[in-house]
Amino acid sequence: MMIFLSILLLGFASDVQALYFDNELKKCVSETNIHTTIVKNGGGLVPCLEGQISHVDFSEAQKLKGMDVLNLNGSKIDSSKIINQTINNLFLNYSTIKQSFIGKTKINFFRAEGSDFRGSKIHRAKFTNFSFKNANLSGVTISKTHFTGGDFLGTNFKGAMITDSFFEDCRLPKNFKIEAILINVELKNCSEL
Amino acid sequence: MINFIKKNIRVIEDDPTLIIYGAILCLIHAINSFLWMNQTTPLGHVCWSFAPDCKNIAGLIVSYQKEILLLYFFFSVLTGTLLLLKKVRWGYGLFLFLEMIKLGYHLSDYRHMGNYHYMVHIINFLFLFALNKKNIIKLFLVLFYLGAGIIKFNTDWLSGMALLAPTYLLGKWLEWACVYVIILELLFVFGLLSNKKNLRSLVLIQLIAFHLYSWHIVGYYYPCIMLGMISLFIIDKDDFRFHFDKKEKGYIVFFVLAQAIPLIFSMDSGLTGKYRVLSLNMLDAKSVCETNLFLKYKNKTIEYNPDFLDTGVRIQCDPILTVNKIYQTCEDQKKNADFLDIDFNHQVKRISSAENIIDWTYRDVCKNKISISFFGEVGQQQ
Repeated sequence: MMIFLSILLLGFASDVQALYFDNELKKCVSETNIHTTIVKNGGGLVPCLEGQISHVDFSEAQKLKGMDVLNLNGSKIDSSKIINQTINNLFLNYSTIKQSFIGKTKINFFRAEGSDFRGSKIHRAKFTNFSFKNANLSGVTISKTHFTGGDFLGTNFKGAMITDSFFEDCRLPKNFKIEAILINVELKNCSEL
Repeated sequence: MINFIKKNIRVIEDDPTLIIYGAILCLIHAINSFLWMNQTTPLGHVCWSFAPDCKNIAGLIVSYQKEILLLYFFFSVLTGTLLLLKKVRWGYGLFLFLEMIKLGYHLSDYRHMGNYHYMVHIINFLFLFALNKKNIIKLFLVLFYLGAGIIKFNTDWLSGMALLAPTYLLGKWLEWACVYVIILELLFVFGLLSNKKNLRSLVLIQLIAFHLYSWHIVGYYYPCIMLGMISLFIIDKDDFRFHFDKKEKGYIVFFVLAQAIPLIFSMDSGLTGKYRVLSLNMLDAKSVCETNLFLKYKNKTIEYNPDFLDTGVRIQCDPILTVNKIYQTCEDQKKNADFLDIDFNHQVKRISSAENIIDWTYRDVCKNKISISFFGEVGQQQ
């Protein structure tokens, strides 16, 4: 079963439907298309994944908890869910993560430079040491989320609805307060450049 | 007053059972400090209905939260040790100090509310200020169960839907178990006051089993607290005697009235929060609600739906939280030059019923402030 799954992931099959990872896959996987996937224990799944994955549900991925590096740079993980995780070093640079949901998740060292989050929801998450530089957060709904220590320079917040959230030690774009809808949002030591 | 305190100290000094029970109550304080240390309270403060201007004191407590709780833990251990070493005068004084820390911290934010604090405050109070300590504490423990049993008499509890988490028992088994709990709390519990040791033990075993079973549903804190409090029935071999002085009778009447008021004056205090500020509210309802705030600006209206899912289950639909959120939002939006006012709608119902939806709608709640009375009645100032 393990070998079969590895073969699938290594690109012999381009579109994998409804795939369940019940075991840890340690091989580096690249240029892979994985859709409608529930990652159950796929901790070692993606140290260098740069393919397209969409409709991925990370909510049951036990091995993501506390994992050190999850590199999804350049990925397409639209309509996905990352729920109830604790992740160090999540790289999502130049990826699209549209119509997705990040909930109850703590991420330390988060990189999403130039990424597209349109239509996504972020709820009860905690980002520390993050970069959303030049990311597109327009129309994003953010609630009960803490952002501590990071960069939003060049981030597009047009129409983003941010409620009950906390921003600390961060750099925000100049029009942040005009473009985003802010309700009960607290800013502490944040500059608007 | 000083004489009364001295008498209370003497009562404890003369009774080894009370010394041990005092140490157990200190252990409960220590567990409480541990609970609060590990609890993350969401941003902001929510004041109690009887102290609407708590912001400054609450802010101060939050700034020194860690230090206060460490002090609380340290004094819990110290007081328990002093009592066991029979240094009762010191133990008594520090116990009073501990209770003040607990009460201050508890009242600093409405989101700390819970029966497990309410009942412990009462037992601590009786331990400090009742001369017939053992008997009145025993009676109050029975009254706690009785009060809890009365308010469990609703469809949420009887259907098993009021439980906070999935349980090992399912379907009909769960429903029968819920009925059994009510019978235990309303009838069998009086066996604790019986002079027959076997009967007392039989009821006690059932209560212990009930609390141990509830562990996987409500977590460690509730069972620990209850087992700690009812331990008096294990360590004390004396029979119960209904013989109280005027002051103690006053305590009993006050407690009974506090439980009776929500039952008499509000049909659904579990949903409206009315009159339950001084009473037990143990799983009296599992409410579900939707809160809509319509923020009106010069050129648009935005719908904002705050939820309180990160607070205790019993207060997620509580009007105190909702009204506090309105105050906070009005204050927050004042900065926006285009902001006009907020219209507010709140609907709440029992999880087990599609009927009896309580609906509150108020317009322009920033200009015409929503008020909440001591007993939790919501109204709008014109």
